[in-house]
Amino acid sequence: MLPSLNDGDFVCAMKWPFRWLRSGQIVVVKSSTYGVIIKRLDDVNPNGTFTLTGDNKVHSVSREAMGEFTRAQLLGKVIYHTSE
Amino acid sequence: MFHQLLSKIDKATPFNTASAHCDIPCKIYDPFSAQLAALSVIRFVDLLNELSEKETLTFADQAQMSRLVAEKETHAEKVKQEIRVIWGDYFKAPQFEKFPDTNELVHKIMLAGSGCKQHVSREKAEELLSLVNEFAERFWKTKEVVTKKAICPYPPSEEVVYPDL
Repeated sequence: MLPSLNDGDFVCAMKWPFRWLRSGQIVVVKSSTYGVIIKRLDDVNPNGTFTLTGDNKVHSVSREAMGEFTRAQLLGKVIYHTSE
Repeated sequence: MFHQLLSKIDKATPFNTASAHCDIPCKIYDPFSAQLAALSVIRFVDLLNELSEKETLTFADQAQMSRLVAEKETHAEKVKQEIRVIWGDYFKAPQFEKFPDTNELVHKIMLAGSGCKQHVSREKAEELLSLVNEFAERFWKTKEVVTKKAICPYPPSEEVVYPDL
């Protein structure tokens, strides 16, 4: 997620309220393949599913590889972030 | 300052972590790339030996010799690289428990690969292929895949360990 997030950064993520999810926001989700990951919301569909993208386009796992997520997998939306 | 404070709290009571994940765990490993490179080394040695039988080398022959030497070294290095990746990324405790002397075998391959770069020797190139075949056999055994030996259907027509799928 460089340059937005660096290794060792702290974030505060909140699960509520869901309906404020918008593409471009940074979220923490539980992926069955990649574990707990932090990525940027790409598309938020009307049915509540969403896709993710990484800021570091060259090295990030692709949106297609991560697949589609459901709201049950959403652990929180990042509302605060601090770097060293 | 707030980051420092959070770091201290994190050390005392670790927060949950989330990965930004940039490395794809593809799990695709196959020793055949190393085997193919080892076969190529033998082939380049054979072609170099054919050139050495000529009494005089034309300009084209010399250019060909330079190319063959360069490719021989490139492919010997490729063998080493391919084996290092499987050894470093795929082999973990369960595989090492099954084949405890894998480190020795890999080290032998590294030395044999270097030997093929230093010399134009079919014997050394055959030794490299033999060691890589042994590594391939072990690799497939760690995956419970049966192997078979067959002569590759192209020059240098040497015996290769293949997965019997």
